[in-house]
Amino acid sequence: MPKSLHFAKADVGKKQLADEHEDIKYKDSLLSGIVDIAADAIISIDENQRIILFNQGAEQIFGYSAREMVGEFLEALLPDEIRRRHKNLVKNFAGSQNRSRLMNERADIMGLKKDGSTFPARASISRLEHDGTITLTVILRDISEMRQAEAAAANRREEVAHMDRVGLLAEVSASLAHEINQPLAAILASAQALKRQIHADPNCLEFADEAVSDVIADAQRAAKIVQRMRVMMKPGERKDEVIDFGQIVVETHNLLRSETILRQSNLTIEVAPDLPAVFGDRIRLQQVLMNLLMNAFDATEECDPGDRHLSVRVSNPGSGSVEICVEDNGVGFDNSSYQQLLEPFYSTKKGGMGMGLAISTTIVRSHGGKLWAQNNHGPGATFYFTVPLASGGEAVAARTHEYEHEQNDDSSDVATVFIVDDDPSVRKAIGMLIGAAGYAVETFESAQAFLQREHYSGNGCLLVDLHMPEQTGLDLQTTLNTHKYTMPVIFMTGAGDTSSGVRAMKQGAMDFLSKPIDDEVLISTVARAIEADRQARDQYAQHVAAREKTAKLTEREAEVMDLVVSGLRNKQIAATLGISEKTVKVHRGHVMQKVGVRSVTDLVRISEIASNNP
Amino acid sequence: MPETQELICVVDDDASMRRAFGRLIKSFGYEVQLHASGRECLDETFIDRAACLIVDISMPHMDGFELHALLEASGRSIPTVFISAHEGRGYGEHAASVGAIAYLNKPCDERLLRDAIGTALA
Repeated sequence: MPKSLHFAKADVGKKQLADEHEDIKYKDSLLSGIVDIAADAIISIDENQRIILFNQGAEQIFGYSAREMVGEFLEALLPDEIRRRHKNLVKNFAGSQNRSRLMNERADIMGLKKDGSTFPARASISRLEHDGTITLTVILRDISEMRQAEAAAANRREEVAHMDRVGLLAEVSASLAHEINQPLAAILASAQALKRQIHADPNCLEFADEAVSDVIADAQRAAKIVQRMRVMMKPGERKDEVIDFGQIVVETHNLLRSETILRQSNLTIEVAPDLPAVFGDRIRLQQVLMNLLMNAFDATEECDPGDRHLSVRVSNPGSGSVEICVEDNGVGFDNSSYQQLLEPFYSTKKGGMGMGLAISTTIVRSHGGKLWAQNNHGPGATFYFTVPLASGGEAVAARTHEYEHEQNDDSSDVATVFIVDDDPSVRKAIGMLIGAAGYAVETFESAQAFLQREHYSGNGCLLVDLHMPEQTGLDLQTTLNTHKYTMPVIFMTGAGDTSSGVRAMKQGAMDFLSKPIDDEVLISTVARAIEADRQARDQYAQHVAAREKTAKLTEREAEVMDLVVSGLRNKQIAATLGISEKTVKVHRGHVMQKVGVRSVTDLVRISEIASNNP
Repeated sequence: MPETQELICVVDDDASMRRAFGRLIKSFGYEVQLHASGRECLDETFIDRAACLIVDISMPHMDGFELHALLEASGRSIPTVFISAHEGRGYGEHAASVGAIAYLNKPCDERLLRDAIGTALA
């Protein structure tokens, strides 16, 4: 055995060499096989970013053959708008010590196909240095399907939430019909009374005035209910804004007024004074409150009529959120089923889909809040949820107060609302309303009249009638866009003219309001426009300031700044620019001094602001 | 126009509804009293003079049927017309069973109201 072993060993030595050779060849072909059949695009490039390897996955994803692409620059696979930035990124990476990194840890990168279409992709890049040659390999996956699936899931969530709102309205439809029938009945009775009176006494002016005033008020009341219903029924994307939760409570209370009577229940509401504003979607938050209230109604069904008590309390516990609690004195819930209670398709209700609480939980969480419940010590249960304050919520609340109390602050801070409408009574009415809300107002009878005014560059917004003779609102908008007016534009349209409104929105209008316009909606829309304008102005001022600072840099210093901002160390910067590390330090010092910052973080921020034109 | 002015009482928690019925009934040539709740109505003494009661059914605290029952129980039987903006909740049947003159749905045409009052006064 030992002999043969020795012999064998020598033999093995030779064989091993041959084997190793075979092995390498095998591994090589295995590897290139894997590279070829991989579903991901695998693309290797040389130091000049020329493609040296383009696998089948890449062929399938990009639609080019390897033969077409090998030897081409990588940038051929990138859409124009990111080409330059990307090229620099890759260049920096080639010079860095990182072995691999995901290229889009934050955002998707876009790829460009042969047919000219683009697609979202997720890519990683790795660097291989061999015999002094650097090869970079990009592994890239088309994630459009994933993005589509995500969007579809978001749509489904949206649909379910919408179904829940429609369901809620269906549940209270009888009381809503009552709410609408009531003013209709009053209108009919008043109008018929007036008609009789006119026949009896054609000079019954006082009588007529009173009756017609009531008719108007009742018609507005009916319209408001319809409006509330429409808002709840509307499918659509979430629109977050700064809101006063107290207002949501009042709206919900109004919507459920009749339901409360019908259910022979007592509903009390209590909103803390000085409640700070929250940030979120008005309709969805109202949906949560309504779900909890409908639950509470159901829970108290077993109580004696007149002893069914519900209460809504909104407070600011000082934890950065507004807290809403909905309490009832009903049957409470089984503690063992608490978890299920907040999950879909679980309901102790006979009728409902049982989605309400689960959807509410989802909505509250997506707002960054919490929803929970507990049984009371006495009968019934209390449901709680929180909604985070708007950043600077206190300030917002304070500001609306200012508007209410100090109508005329003569400093130039007062925002101006420009009203353009050919109807003098509309101009007057809306002007008064907006003036009362604390804004400066200027009215114009036509688009031309407004354009003749000297160029206004302060904080403000435009409120424009869409249908005017000669130049329509849309024409004015087009003209404004070319005159570098960046003020937000709100359009007023006739009832039912949604299509023009939508067209205006597509052209960049802030919003459109259908006439008759509700006072509150008008004021809140104007406030939103003014705030948007103020923010855009701040952003632009910051951009200009940052540009001024970076403009002072020499060309070299600017280069150094770009590299510092992209995360390179002094040594790497020196290597990239072919200068000494010491020189880099000097430039870097100048950059920090000229830009007026002390940390790289601040430098990154300023350079971002300078390069993003708002 | 009737010779003597009979008193018609309207009980409805909705203010503009109350005023509107008030106008209409006045234009029929009757005297009208308006009340916002059953309680308010019970507290008045002229209820005894009322020739007809027009009562909304769904009101907070005391609904129209309760008011009617209380009046009946205290021996004040006044011809009553029930009205409601709710449909199909068995109100009509209930109204008939307690001996109401009529049950009207809101919105209701003046002719129906005048006929109902006419029946009540006949």
